[in-house]
Amino acid sequence: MSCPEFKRFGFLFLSGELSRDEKRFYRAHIKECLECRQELFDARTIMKTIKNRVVLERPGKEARESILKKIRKERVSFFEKIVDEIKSALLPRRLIIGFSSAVVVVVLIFFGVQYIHHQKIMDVDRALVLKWDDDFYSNVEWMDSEIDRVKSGELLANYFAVEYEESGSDDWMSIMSNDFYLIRGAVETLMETFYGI
Amino acid sequence: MFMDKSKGDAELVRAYLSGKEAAFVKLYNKYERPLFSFILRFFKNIQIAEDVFQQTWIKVINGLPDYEERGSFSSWLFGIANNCSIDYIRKRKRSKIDESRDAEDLSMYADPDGDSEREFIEDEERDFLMRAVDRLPEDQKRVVLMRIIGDLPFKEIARALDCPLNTVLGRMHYAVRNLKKIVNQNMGRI
Repeated sequence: MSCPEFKRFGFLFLSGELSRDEKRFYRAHIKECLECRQELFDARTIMKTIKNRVVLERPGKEARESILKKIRKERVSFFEKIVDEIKSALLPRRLIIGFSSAVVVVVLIFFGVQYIHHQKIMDVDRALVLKWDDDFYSNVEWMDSEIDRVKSGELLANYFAVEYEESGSDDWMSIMSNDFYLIRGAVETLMETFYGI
Repeated sequence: MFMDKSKGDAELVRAYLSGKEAAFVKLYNKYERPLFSFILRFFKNIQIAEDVFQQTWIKVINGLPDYEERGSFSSWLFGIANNCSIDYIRKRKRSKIDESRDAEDLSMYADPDGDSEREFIEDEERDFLMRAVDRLPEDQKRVVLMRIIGDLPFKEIARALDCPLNTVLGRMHYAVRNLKKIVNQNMGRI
């Protein structure tokens, strides 16, 4: 009948696997326990004897080379497996890329059509603008001629003639003094507007 | 001591996985003799031992990406070797050729025509204690050989054999007791 402490600690003590506290405890125990000391001695002697007598064999050269060759082959296949895994991992990404490309193409087509349509509208607008420009410049020409007329006094004379006829007054001076300032203001506004003078 | 050893192995495994083939050759060289000797003690036939040895290393290579560093590399390696040995014995048991043979009698794999085989057996006959180890029950023999040839700590043996530490210690205890008995019967007390 063995000491239960030997079953628990004996072989772990011999293999150096006990913690510091366990080792301290078991050392104290074997000082007292003759049975444990005997078991330890027998176990250590037997294991040491076997260890000394055991011959570590090597596999044959051919076997060794075959293993190393297989290891390399397996290594290659191992890397092939990794490549396959990467490929399979990329498969969904490929789908995503395809889908994204399709979306991009659709978006490009949409905006392309929009652009062409917009260009057409722009052409129409440009034509309208040009037409407006023509009108504007013809208006400017008309205004210029009107201003020339103002400058030359033709319009003023016409105006005074109309004023005189409508008022029926003989007082030329009052008519002229009243209207002169109004007309001068109008002329100045016109000059400022069109010529910045 | 054990931690440093397993730490070094783990570094070699990482180096191999990162592409350094030399790291694996280093690992192989380190365990070649203990592992082959461990397998050879079960089969007593160099050819079979070499087959099982090769299978073990191929399984190791295939399993490296999934190798977890929680245990030591040596316990993982010997665990695989142990399983490969058991698988081989099972396959042989199943095959019709060896149906009549007793799987427990490990000398059944001895090849009488092989010179190296004969030398190996002759050496063994000279060594009484080693023959005593061979006569141990399988589960006890595995623990003894993993401890002595593989130099595995008992905690790692428990991991390799996938059984509780107390079971391993119990097997070792019975193995030593049986060896003592065998030795006492044949040679007197050690």
